[in-house]
Amino acid sequence: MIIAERKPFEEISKMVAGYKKVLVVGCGACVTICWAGGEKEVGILSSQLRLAASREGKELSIIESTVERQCETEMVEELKDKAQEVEVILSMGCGVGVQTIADVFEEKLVFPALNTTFIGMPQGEGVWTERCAACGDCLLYWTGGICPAARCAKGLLNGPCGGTRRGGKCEIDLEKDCAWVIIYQRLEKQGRLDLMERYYEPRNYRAVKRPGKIEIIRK
Amino acid sequence: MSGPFRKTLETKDFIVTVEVAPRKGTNTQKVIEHIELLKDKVDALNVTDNQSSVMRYPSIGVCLLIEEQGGEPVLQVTCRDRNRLAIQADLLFAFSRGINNVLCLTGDSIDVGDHDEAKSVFDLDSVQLIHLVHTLNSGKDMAGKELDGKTDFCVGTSATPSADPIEPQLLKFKKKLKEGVSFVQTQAVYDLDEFKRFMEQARRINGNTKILAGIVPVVSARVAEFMNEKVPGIFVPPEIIDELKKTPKKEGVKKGIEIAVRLIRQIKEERLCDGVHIMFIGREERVPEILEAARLMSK
Amino acid sequence: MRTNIGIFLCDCGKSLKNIDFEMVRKKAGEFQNAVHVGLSSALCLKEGLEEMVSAIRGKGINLVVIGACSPLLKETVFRKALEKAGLDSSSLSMANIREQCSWVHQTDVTEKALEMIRMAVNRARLIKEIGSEEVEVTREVLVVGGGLSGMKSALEISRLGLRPTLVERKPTLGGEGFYVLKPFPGETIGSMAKAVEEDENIEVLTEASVVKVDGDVGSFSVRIRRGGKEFYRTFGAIIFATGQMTEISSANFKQTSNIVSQQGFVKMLQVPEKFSKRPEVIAFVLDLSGESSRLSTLSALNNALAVKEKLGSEVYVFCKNLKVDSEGVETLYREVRNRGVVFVKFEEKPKIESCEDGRVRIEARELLLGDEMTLFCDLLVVEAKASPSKGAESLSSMLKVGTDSQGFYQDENVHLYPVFSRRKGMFFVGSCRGDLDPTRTWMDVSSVAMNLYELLSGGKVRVEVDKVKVEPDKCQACLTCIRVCPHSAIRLVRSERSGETKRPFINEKREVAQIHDLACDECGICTSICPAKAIEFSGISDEQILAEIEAMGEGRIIAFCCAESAYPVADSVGKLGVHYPPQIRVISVPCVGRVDLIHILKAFEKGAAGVLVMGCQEGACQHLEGNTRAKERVKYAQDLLEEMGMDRENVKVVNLGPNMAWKFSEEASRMAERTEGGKR
Repeated sequence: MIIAERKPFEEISKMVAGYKKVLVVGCGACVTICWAGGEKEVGILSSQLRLAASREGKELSIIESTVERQCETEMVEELKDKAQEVEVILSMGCGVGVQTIADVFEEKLVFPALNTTFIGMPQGEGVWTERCAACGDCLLYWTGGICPAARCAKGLLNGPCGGTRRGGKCEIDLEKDCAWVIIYQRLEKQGRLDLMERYYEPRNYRAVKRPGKIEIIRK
Repeated sequence: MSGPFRKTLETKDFIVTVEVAPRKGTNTQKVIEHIELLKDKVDALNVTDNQSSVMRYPSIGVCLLIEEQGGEPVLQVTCRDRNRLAIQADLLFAFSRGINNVLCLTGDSIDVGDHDEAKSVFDLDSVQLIHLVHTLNSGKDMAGKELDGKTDFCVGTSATPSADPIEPQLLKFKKKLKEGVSFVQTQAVYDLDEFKRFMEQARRINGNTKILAGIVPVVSARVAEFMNEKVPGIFVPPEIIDELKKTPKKEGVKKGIEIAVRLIRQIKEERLCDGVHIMFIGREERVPEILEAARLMSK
Repeated sequence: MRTNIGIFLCDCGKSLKNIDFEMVRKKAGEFQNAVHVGLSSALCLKEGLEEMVSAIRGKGINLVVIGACSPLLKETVFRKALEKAGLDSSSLSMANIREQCSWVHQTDVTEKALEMIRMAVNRARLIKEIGSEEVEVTREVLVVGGGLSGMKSALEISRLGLRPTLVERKPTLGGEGFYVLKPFPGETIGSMAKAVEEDENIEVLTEASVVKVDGDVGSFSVRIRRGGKEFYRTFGAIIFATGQMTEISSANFKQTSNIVSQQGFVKMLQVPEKFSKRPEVIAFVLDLSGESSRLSTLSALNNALAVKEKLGSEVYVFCKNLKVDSEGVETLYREVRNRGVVFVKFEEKPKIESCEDGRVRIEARELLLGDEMTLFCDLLVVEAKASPSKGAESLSSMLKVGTDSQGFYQDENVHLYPVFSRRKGMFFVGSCRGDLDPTRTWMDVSSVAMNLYELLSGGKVRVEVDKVKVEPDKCQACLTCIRVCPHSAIRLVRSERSGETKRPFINEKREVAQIHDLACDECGICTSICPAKAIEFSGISDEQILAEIEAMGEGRIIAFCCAESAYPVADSVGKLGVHYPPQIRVISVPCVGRVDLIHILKAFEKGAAGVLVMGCQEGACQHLEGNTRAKERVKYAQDLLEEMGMDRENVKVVNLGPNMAWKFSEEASRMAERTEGGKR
């Protein structure tokens, strides 16, 4: 799912500085699960904004709401009544959510409270890691189910590079595994090292022509 | 005057190459001095390409200078900063101006350098780059279009003998050799037992490619530890760090040279590989000392 | 929505003189929905209770707020009274105006008492009725391990009318063997095994092992492997009596055939005819690698006596110290001495060597006389080091129960009573718990048997339904609560749509988390960690906590106190008559793991000067990691405060043990001092 992180409080409070009525909207999908922008986080951020405002003697009233999914126009439209009362909508959804809200409420100011970071999964309590680069040309067949586009820092197809750190760690981060070392180990276990011995042609970076759009017509 | 590197590789017994690093800025005086100092003493001069992801005067610029001064340049190309169009265009230009040797590298990551917010390109990797050069050599570009004037590069690449684990690296090395490589310059070698093991494996894969052991003199324990932590691909073993710790600061450079010479001598005497590639970045003017002490002066 | 609140105050025999009860009565009467405010001098006694019951009936009161002494004293009494009055016992909310108000403050006492009652009223308004139902539990009990503890457990359980199934890996019962010939008067391994086999109530499965355990207390589903086949059985509870392994550490001597362990020696004593030649001199050596255990002393003494009785050989016991703190051991020691056994006390380790003639030589320096002595013996009995049995580690991780630092069950946590584990319905007895002697094993077994009798004998258990509940429509199946529950009480199940929601779903059923009522230990850790706010904890819901905060004035210091330690400690401060600043407001939570970030932030929004999160000592949380979570959460809360330019030290974690009344009052005073005058 999409993983996001809350922006630093300072950045958020600068965005809403000077506005007196703000709607803080959470999303019940991905960002709830990765503890970034669900109902709870909406409550916490709103509480912080109110506290900060009262300390500075500023007026600020906040409406809190959380939508099922911010990436659906129909669901976002249900915020209509609340949106009417405010000047600013602070979205705690991923980048898609922010833009959906901005499209629906064009005359309002819509700001992002999160930084959307990657497509990933939980790896333990409170830890999420990147797994998919949305390259549009999935090659997991060839790499034992480990994606080098997402997990190799350089996105190599004929890895590893010469910068692998001791213990099979990545050149740029000792806490991260070198993707190609773990691909090698996986393929070795499966007896399919021949797949890694192949020459892989340069990737088709235009497999997904960005900005991406897919159309599926069902009759 | 050095002859074509390709010929040297075939005929010479022990090959010596040296790395020359450009600097930031348009002033090429220093690098010209280094070229002058070294061009006749070695078989070829490598020029690094935005080494360690730090922006510098381009490799191709210095290669042209070497060419002008009568030396034998090796153009280093990394995949970090240029996409396939730029690389192909640069290679056409390089060959047209008399540069015949190219070293194909993946390139350090952006994070280790001084422009660490730049976009990483890595449109290709080193194996694909080797393949690409051969494609240009055959008179076509990557899109399959005919070239009006093809290239004839002598292709080289790098290897990492002290990688841990070593198996994935050897697998990639094999791939590189399969694509066709005339020479290999390894990352820094300090542990000759480890290097021997690597060479056994390497020879099994392809006995013909010329392999040059990378020699990087280290001048202090602090520098060694810094390199271990920050410079990808290098591992200075604890024994050498200890030796450096015992050396008084003033003698650091001398000690570094001494260790380097020791390694080179052993490599030469035991015929561990086909030559050495000396990288003494920032102290290129001391390289002749190494060459002399190790009895490597060519011609 | 219940709206008739009855407020009952007690001045505890008119002793709470610093509370102006008339004022409180008047003001409380003005609270919204308050239909009755009564004052008694002995609310917990017969008359007071009867008055309360008739007021409830007479005025149609459906929510009761009591301002009196600590709930820890009389809550049960009051709940029974409510039931008598026809109300659900959960309709009660209490304010501790004695131990945590009148007894500990000198100023602002009435104001605080009134505010505490207002807090209790706010909480009461949101009380939801919790139903209870009877859950069937099966009377079958699984005993894993057929050694001493296992057999004893099976016999006891059978005696109580439950039906034990004894599963043992080996072909025969008896376990690793005893340390002593007669562990209990009149019983030997042989006689116990016979009793077990003859008891028709006990099912014995030898050469069988437990493969997997699913389900929860009352109906564990256990997969057993026997004779190459696997089958499922259902049990109401499981007792693990998996014992321990022992091995002689040959660090101090070379192993030969006449150096044996206590257990080995007992085996020899059981068939004394097998000695080819009667050993003339037998020596016991204790304390070779550090201090030996109680069990070692007990074994050595018992076996020394047995030697005298059966073989009549000379017996020497070399030791550093004898541990005589088990029942009857001191007497045993004297008896052993009287039979002529010689004790040699040493300080430095004796030297042990095997001789060519087959005897063993021991050289030691006797401490009391200072003499060096050398003994040649025919048989040397030494200590064996105990360690958890093979498979203990994988068993404990499969079951998600903890072990202590040596790998024995269970966690070194003062809140876990000896035989309990963190999972309801799973118990550990005997030497798998570490160093035990037969007397303590017997205590273990009795303890478990009693518990099981209470739990299972009725065949049904009354349980509060959905006290802590996952709302299936809100649950995102993120699996956080399942992974986090310290009592493994939450499972992933397929659930029907409730139909009340507008969400467009593709499937009729979806996977959601579900809490098992009987296994739940009501800590609330799941409630606060659920990212979707899908879990509701009736009685201490988020709304209730925030409602209590809402009832407070400005400048308060809120102390979230866990029910296991901090709350009783707060009471003990009152009992000692120690004073602390009156702006403290205690909010009771089942575990500090229930305290969430929004509670802390809302407290500050309400003008609180500071927040204390008070829980058990580190490593001693009743719910294993509740206080660790609270610690991390408070750290994050401190970061959030700092982000807003507030002082991060205004929220703090305090760890309290049961006797730390001084610390409670010290921390309360400290926080009051630093936040005095609204300094933020």
